[in-house]
Amino acid sequence: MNIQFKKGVLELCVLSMLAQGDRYGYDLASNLSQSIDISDGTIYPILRRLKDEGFVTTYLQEASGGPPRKYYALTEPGARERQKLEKEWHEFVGSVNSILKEGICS
Amino acid sequence: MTKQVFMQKLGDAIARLKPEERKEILADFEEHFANGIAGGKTEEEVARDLGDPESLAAQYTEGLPEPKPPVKASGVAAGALASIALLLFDAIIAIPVIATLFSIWISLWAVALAFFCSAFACIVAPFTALLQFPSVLAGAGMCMIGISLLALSALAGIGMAYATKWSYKGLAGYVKAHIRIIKGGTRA
Repeated sequence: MNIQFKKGVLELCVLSMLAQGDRYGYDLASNLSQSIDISDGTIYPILRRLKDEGFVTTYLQEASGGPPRKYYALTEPGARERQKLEKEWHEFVGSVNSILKEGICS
Repeated sequence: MTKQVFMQKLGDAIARLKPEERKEILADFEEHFANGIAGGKTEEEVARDLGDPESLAAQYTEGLPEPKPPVKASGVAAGALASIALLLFDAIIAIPVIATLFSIWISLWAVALAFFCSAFACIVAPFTALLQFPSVLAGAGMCMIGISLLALSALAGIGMAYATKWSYKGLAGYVKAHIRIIKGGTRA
């Protein structure tokens, strides 16, 4: 898959996972790489970019029997970005589907 | 790949980033290893699932300017010596050579200008009353000579424009090299 395209889609996935609640890096990485064919590490540069853009914030939380974990939380701009990306995604998939079905753009 | 090798490779590949940023990134991966191992994976498995550290690093560094080649700091004495040697070289060789080239350059521009002026004179002369030409044909011939001269002057002008550009580049490069040496940094 085209790397830029994949990045955009992964951003949407990460924002959507965080919309369900705060999660830590390893949790996000292992969940995402189970359903999408990416290496676990790919998620960290994405998380960093999302944080730089103010779409997520982080905080540390103690974990039982281990070092503290860095949790990621969706911000208000992040939620708006997620909605925007989701809308774009549906439009894109809709166009592709109609091309696949009828060979034309609707 | 062990955790240590993975962290080493990643750390080296993001060495261009700001120290605190680099530290944060490495901490993220430290934490990932800790969580993976706590979840029952081996270091090798975590490293394998993370992917290639260099291509991960590329995602952090993309869009940043290319790293500068390392500059070897030379001693103050060596720097001073280099500056003195440079001054001597300039006084004995470089300045006379540059002065000579400069005079040649001026002369050649003068030649090009002379060609142009002659061309102008030859073309205009038949149309003025200053010179009497025996026939219209002679006047036209003069005009033709003028046009040829004009072409020659254009050629000379183009040639000199290139020569000027190259000399300027050469001189700028020479001056830059001076600044580098006097600042005391030599390329490692």
